[in-house]
Amino acid sequence: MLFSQPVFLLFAAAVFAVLLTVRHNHARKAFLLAASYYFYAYWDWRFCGLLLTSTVVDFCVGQGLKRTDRPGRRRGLLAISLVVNLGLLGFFKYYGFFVESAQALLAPLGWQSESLHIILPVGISFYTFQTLSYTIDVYRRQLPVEDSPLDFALFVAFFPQLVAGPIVRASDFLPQTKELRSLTLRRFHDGLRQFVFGMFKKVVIADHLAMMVDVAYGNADVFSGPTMILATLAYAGQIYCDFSGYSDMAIGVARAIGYDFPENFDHPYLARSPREFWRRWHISLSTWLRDYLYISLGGNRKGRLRTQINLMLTMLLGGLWHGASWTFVFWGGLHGAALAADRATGRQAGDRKPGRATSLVGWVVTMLVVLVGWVFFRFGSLVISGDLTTGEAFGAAWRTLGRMATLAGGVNWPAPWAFIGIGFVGLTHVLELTPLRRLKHLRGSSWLEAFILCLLIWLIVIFYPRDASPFIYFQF
Amino acid sequence: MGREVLENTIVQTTLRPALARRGVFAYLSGMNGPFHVPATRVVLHWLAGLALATLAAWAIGAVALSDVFIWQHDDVTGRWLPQPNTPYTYTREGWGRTTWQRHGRLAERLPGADDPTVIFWGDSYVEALQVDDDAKMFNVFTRLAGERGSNLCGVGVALSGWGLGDYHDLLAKLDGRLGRPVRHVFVVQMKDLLPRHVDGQPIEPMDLIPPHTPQFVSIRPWVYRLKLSAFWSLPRDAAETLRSLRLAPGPAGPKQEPVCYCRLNEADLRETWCDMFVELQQRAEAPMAFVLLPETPEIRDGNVAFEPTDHNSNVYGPFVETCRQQNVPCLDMRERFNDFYRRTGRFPRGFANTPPGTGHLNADGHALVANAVADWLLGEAQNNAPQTRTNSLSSPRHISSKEPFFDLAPKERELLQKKSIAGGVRAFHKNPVAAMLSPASAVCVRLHRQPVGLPASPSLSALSSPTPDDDILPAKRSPRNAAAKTPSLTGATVASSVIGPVKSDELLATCQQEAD
Repeated sequence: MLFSQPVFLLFAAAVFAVLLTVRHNHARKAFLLAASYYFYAYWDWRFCGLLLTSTVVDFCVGQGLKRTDRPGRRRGLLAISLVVNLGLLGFFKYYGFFVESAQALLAPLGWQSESLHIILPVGISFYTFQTLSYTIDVYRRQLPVEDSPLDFALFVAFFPQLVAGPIVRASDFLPQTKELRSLTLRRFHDGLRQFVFGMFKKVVIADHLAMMVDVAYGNADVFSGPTMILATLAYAGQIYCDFSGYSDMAIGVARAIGYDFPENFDHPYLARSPREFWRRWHISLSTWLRDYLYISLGGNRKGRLRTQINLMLTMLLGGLWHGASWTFVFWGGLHGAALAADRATGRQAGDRKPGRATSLVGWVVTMLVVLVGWVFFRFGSLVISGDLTTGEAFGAAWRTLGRMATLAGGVNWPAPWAFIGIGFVGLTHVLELTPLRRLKHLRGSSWLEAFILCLLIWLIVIFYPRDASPFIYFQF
Repeated sequence: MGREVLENTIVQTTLRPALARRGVFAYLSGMNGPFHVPATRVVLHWLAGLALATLAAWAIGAVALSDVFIWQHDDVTGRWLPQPNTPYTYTREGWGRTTWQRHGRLAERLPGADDPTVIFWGDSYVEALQVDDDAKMFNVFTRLAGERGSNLCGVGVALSGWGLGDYHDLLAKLDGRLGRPVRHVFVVQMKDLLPRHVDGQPIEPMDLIPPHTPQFVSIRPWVYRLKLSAFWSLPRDAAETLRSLRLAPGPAGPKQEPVCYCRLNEADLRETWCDMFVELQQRAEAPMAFVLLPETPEIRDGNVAFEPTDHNSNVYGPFVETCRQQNVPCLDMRERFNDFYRRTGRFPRGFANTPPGTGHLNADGHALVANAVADWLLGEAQNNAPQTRTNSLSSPRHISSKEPFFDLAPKERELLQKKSIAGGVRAFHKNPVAAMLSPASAVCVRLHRQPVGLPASPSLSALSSPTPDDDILPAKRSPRNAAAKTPSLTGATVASSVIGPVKSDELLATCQQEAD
């Protein structure tokens, strides 16, 4: 059930209608939990067991942590949570990857193994990180243990963020379950506004950009350098509109039914440095990686070299989180290297506020890094879908970069939707730099807001693609 | 002042009681933040916003979306056709304007009764909604002919979805309305020459002469005139969405593939094509020709492919060969299309808003077809080298339109006539392609052993590239299809060569039944 599908709109409307009639907090939460499990089962009921396992294990670990102060036992409980959660994630997401990598490595020695074709459960990367955040916070004594299994189960399975984030922390969500959330028209209005914005980005922009990107990247050697540049820009727009659109929809739905999620994107293509990019892109993931991985590795507390290594390790694992392919690891490494370089140069520059020229250069360099990264990222997706092997993906990525750099000849395809999509993304980013940015916080009393919202809805309806494509981040 | 009165009136009479009853008014009135203004104003703002947004959506739809067709029943052809002299804009693929004349004809300049014409018969490829009228192949042909000093006029007779059965039917009905045809050019793709289920469709009688009535005939003119395309398909899409709604938990079952790849016999196919030539030529009083549109060049698996691989294309070679044997001119566009790509880097198919190399012909593709036909027909005329009257365009007025174009041996003609009377080829009249699997076709195909067309002209052989042997059915290469080497002339045994994989025995049985 995709957020952009009509069936989800019916589902959300039904959930909202029932919630309006239920005035008891426990009953509401129980209903929301049931609705969330139905939402997940709609994809494949057999994987509800995984969700339940993760929930039960982490709830019990939390209870165990509450009952003991002995460091060894606490570490053991944390290890159980890590082993179970990461074990499930590793098996379902990375088993094939590791087996194939090992096979490639050991093939000269005659080692052979059969790989299993395992279905990747939707959203496993997201809810695994969510439950881990709870366990680690409790272990660190940064969060009180949750005693209500209902609240905890709802935290893990809450349908708006279940399958593709944003990765909501227990410290953000669980307190909201303690009181009856008010369902006001204002909340509904705010949620609807964000949902419509998100759906517009997904359905009208991202899905139409995908038509060009899929063909161009599926046949990258055929198209000319300029066309591949256009396709890469289009992909940058597509993945932004796709993922931020999904996040907006998730946040909007949650807000409409009374819950608040943190924002996940903040105009990432305005970033003037890699660090700033990760403060604006997939914020819930980057903060998760920072808090639970980078800091756990020692952060910047253990010297300059170790800091750089920690940064690199964090980003490599962040890349691997995105997909079981070396191209994603490379993508993470590229960003890790950029972050390390940024940190090194930033330290030299000290606290001086960068001038306009410096900002412009920083923006250009950052965008180049990001766009080069997207090339590897996109070919990584083709590895996940089984269209390319890892070696082929790397080869194709390097060749594509070469074609783009040399403006090589080939088939030209100036697809109009690519220009429209890129223009839209550019405009929304540029507007953010002007006073017109207030348009996104439209006031409910304004006819202008009504006009914009209604127009966006009309455009969604008119340009709804016949073959809606799934959200890119569902594969992660 | 006026607005306040209006607001008060609305509030007092309708909104306040209604909203209050539902508790909504309480929300609106007691709201802080964005709803700190009076509720009535909020409602009015939203109504105004909705109205303005609808207006804007209408404007966007009017500019960017395809027009809705106005269907009109045509008594001459007995079909529902797009209303003539009405320009239709199409934007889903390419961006073009198309204006039909009466009876499904397409031409910038309709010829007079005695004007020599070349008729381009086709489906959506000749209809060509994707390009403007002046770029369509028949109009380009007319211009080319004019430039080369000929008064030949190209006329298109086409509608999306039409097939050989339609042309067969319309050839008789449009007699006298197409000027004085000197050639009937059937623009086809390989799949048009095969039973439809080979193309992945379920077996069902192809109703090529549709009795269907388009929906909402009376509303369509209003939708067209008011440019309401943006809202036209909403009810249908909504109904479709509700119909296909799944509420049960997943995983969703695999989609039922209505695929039935039937076994076809190459010999049957060849002979049925021969039969088709006979049937069409009986109706067409002028000589006929085929223009075969290839799928190539296309982008396939990361490369530009110049050779067809689709299973339909496995019969490419046999068709071209059959045409040659029967002396039915067949312009194979493969080399022209491929050469065009090699020279220019552009594809004859595809548009800016669709992937290159896919879909319908673009303006380049139409120009290539028009040029090919012009080179062939007008080249012959200029060379004055034709060996037969039908290939001669140097004096087209001398061709008697009532004269049969080809000669069957008297015995065969008699037999054909008998079969027609007996209904043996009735199925073919209705649907020649579907009839390929019917016993009737198996009987029909025996009718002619001699070439039915005329000797191919030298210029034609230069245009249509011979198909290499290895382009023939895979049956000749594949061991599992070894049986295909033994042609079977009985239509009931249609199981010796396999064109596509058999999906299911049950479906195959259905196919067999259909064939029987």
